[in-house]
Amino acid sequence: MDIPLFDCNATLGLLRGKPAEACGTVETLLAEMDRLNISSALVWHSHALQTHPEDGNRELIEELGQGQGQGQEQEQGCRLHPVWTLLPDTGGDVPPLCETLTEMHAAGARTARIFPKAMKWSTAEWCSGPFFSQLEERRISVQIPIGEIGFDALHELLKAHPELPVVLCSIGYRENRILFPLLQQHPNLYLDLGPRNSVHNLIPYFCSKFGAGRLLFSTGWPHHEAGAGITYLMYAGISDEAKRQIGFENLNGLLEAVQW
Amino acid sequence: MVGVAEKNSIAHRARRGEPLADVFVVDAHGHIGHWADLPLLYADAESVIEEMDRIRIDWFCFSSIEAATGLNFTLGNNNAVQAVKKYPDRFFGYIVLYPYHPDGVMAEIERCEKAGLRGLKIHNVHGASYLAEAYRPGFEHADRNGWPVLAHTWDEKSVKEIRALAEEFKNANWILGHSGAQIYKPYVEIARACPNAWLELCCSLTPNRLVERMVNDVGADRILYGSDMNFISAAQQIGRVALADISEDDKRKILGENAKGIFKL
Repeated sequence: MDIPLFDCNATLGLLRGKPAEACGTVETLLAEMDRLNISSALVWHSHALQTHPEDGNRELIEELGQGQGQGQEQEQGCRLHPVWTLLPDTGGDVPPLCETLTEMHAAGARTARIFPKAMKWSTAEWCSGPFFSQLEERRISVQIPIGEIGFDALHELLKAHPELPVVLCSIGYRENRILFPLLQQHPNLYLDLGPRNSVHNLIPYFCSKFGAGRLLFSTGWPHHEAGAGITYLMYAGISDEAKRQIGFENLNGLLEAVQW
Repeated sequence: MVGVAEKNSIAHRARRGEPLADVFVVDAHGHIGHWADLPLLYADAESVIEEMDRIRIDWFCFSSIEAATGLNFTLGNNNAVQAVKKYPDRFFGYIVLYPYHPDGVMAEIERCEKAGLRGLKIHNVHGASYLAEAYRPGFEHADRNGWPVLAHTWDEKSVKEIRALAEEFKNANWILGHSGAQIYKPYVEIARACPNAWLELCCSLTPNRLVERMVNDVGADRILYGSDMNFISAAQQIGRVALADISEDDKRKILGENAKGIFKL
C-alpha cells in the first residue's frame, strides 16, 4: 500500500561539525523526497540555531521561495513547510512574540522549534510562561530536541501548558525508561520517530501503550539515511491505518489545528 | 538505479512495506536477550521471527546479549543454543567468547559447537584487546573450520586489531560490526587489503548516504546487511540498503548473496 509520508524533521543549511556534503538545500531535499516518494516535509534552517533565529527564519523563507521559483515543483509550496525557530524576548534582542507570530503566520509557518540550552534561556514558568501561553492559545506545536531541555523541565512545561503540543526530537532508546512515564502523563507530548529511537519493535509497543496518534514519521535528513525511517514505519507490526496516522495524518493534524 | 517507482523492485516493495519474497536476506548481526543498560522491549526469539517474517529475512545470525554485553557467558550461549534448536532453519548462532575465563575459550567453543553453534562473536565491552593471547585458540579453531567471526568494532583501535587477525587467520571470515558508524577510512582500508574481511552495516545513527559511499569505495561484494535486532529494529536497518541509491544487484549482494558462502547457508 502506498502510504503518504510527511517528514517532521528535515534541515536546510549546514550544522556545525557536519561535513560539507551534509548541507541541506531545497533542491537536494526535493530530489530525495521524489526518489523515496515522500509527499511533504517540515524544514527548519541550521542558521536559526547557529547564527540567530531571525537570520535563519529569513533564510529559510528565502530558500523555500527561491526553490519555488525553479518551476519544476509547482506544488512545492505544499510539500515543504517552514518551521519557525523561536526565542522568547526576555533578552531584549528579539521582538515581542506577538510580532514574531504575525511574521510567522505571514510566512506560512504553522509550527515552531526551540533551543533553550543552546540559546541560554529557561523554559520555567517564571522565565517563559507567557511565551508558551501564547503558543498554547494558538495550538502552535513546538519541536524540542531532548538535549535542549531535559526531562524534568519538559515535565514542568507539559504540566503548565497542557494544550501546547510538544514534539520531542532526538531522543534515544537508552532514555525510554524516562520517556514512557512522560508520555503516560502528558497527552500533549508527541514523539519524532527519528533514527535515535529505533529500538526493536518500538512502534508496535508505543501504539499499544499510547496509541498511534502521537508518533510522527521522521527522516533526520540530510544527516541520516532517510530510507531507514521509511522502512522502520512501513515494516512495523501495526495496521495500515496506524501507519497512515504516523506517516502523515498526525503531523498534518497538528498543522491544521493551529488557530491564528 | 532502480527507484521506488519501479514496480516490484526492492525499493518499491520496501517503500510499501511488502515482504522481500524473492530476495535472499541474511541478517549477519543480531541478538536475542535483554540488558539492564537499556530497555529492550522484546527479548525473545519469537518477536525476532515475527519481524523476519514481515520483511522476509531468511536467516538471522545472532548471539545472546546476556553473553555479548552482559558478560554472562554460559547463560547467554545456552540461550543461543536453545533458540537455534527451536528455529534451525532460520537461526545461525555465534558463540560469544570470554577471554578472561580461567579455563580458556576452547571449552566453551567445544560445548557450544556440539550443541549447534558455528561461529564466534567477540565484543570489547570487558576491555580486553582482540589480540589478547587467550583468544588465540578460538581464532585458530575458526580458521581451521572457515568460521565467521563477528567483532564489535567502533573505533580505529578495534578495526586495526581485526585487520591484524584477518591477515594472520586468512581462512576465517572476519565480520566488522557497525562499519562506518563512527569512523570510515579504516574500514575501507581493511576491506581493500583483506579478502576475508567483511563490512557489516548495523547502527541506528549513521551518516546519510553511507551505504552508497561504501559501495562506491569497496564494492557491494564486501558489505553485509546486519540489523543488531533485538537492540535495533531490523525494519529500520533494512531500509538503509533496500532504499539506498544503488543497483538492484548490489542490494541483493549486500542483503544476502554475500553471506551465503560466509555462513555456508
